[in-house]
Amino acid sequence: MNLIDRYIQHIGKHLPEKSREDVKREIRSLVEDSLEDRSRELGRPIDEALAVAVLKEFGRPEKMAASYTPERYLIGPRLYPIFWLVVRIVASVLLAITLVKLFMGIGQLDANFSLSIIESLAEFAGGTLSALGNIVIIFAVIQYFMPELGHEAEKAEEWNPLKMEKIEDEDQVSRVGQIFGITFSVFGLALFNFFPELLGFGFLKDGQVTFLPALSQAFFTYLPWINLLWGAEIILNLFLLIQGQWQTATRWVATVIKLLSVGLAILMLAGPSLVGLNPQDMVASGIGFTLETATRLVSLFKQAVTVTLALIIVLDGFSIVRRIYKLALGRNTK
Amino acid sequence: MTNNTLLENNVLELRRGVIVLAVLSQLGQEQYGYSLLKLLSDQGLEIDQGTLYPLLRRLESQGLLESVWRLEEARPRRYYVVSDAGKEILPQLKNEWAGIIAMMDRILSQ
Repeated sequence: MNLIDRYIQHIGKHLPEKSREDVKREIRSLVEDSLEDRSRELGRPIDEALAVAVLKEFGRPEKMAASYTPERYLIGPRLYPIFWLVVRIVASVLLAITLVKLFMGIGQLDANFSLSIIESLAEFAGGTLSALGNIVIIFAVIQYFMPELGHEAEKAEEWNPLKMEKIEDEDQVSRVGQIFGITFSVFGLALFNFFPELLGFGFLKDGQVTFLPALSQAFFTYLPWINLLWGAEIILNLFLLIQGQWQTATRWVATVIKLLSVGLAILMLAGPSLVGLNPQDMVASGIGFTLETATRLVSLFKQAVTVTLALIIVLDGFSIVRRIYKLALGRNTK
Repeated sequence: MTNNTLLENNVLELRRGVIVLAVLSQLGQEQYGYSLLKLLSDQGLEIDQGTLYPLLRRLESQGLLESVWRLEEARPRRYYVVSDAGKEILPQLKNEWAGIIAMMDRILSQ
């Protein structure tokens, strides 16, 4: 088999069966025409060196074959936005299911609770990947058998610019959100600093309120940092309220505060328990707890705190990465 | 991307727009792929083989060209010629082209 034959065979491998033989025959004819012409121009017989030169001009077999076939997509540009929407919906549903299962597990698992968080995350990642694979297959099948799907929908419905959805200005500060944030932070700081005895469980017994503190001493060692971060957030929110607009500098400040808050949450998660309740005190208070019920309640409370801190770290961590990425690219985001 | 590459890409983009009209205008008489390539090249329009040959098939599938295989010099060649639909569209394309030249002259002279 000479070079030309080999070239034509290689092109054939990349062509659709329907037109393969016809295109191969045509390309062979075109290559031979080029060779003959080149041989005449140079006044020398056709040899391998000449064939190499002509084939180089024709280009790689796969590239030549591609120019004879229409562009093919696994998922085309018209289907892609729908595909992406479906992926996000399915991933959100899977995340919601994972979180519900995790919260339902609180109190039922004790020593292996951290392990169960890791297992849930692994299950979520595996489930999302598997769902993604299935969605890709479904959309690839739709693309293959109904490539005109998006075109037909566009033709059927005339586009009306007046029906476009309104998009809120990303730089606009939500006043309600800021006021809510400031109120919440002030209330929280006042509670932690001036009324720590109120952070606990109150019970009415014989006409008197018995109070069991919920937070441990370890929690209060973090209080200066909480004051600092929440105070900074209050100042930022007040500044934003006055400005009415997000700016690059305020976005960076907000990101740094969030980053430090995640750091604090990691320290809290890794350090001694933040929960000050203990089953013995609860039984001794005479409210009517048995040791078993009290132990179960304390365990439930500790796990709820752990899950909350873990969620803060994961969700805020994602949010920080996204923000920094967008800020670095110069795109605005709240 | 260097300035030279940018220039080359934009020149290619400009030329791409005229290829169909150039090809249709030269196929009033039958030509096979290579002879058409040479014909256009002799008049200053260099077209890549990987662009011209698939274009001929595409124009044929659109009904603007017709083709026939002929045995010449002991080997087959595919000859292309403008179809009736192609003959109908060609004058309109030429008018359009004249309009584009006039419009661009106006724009570029300002």
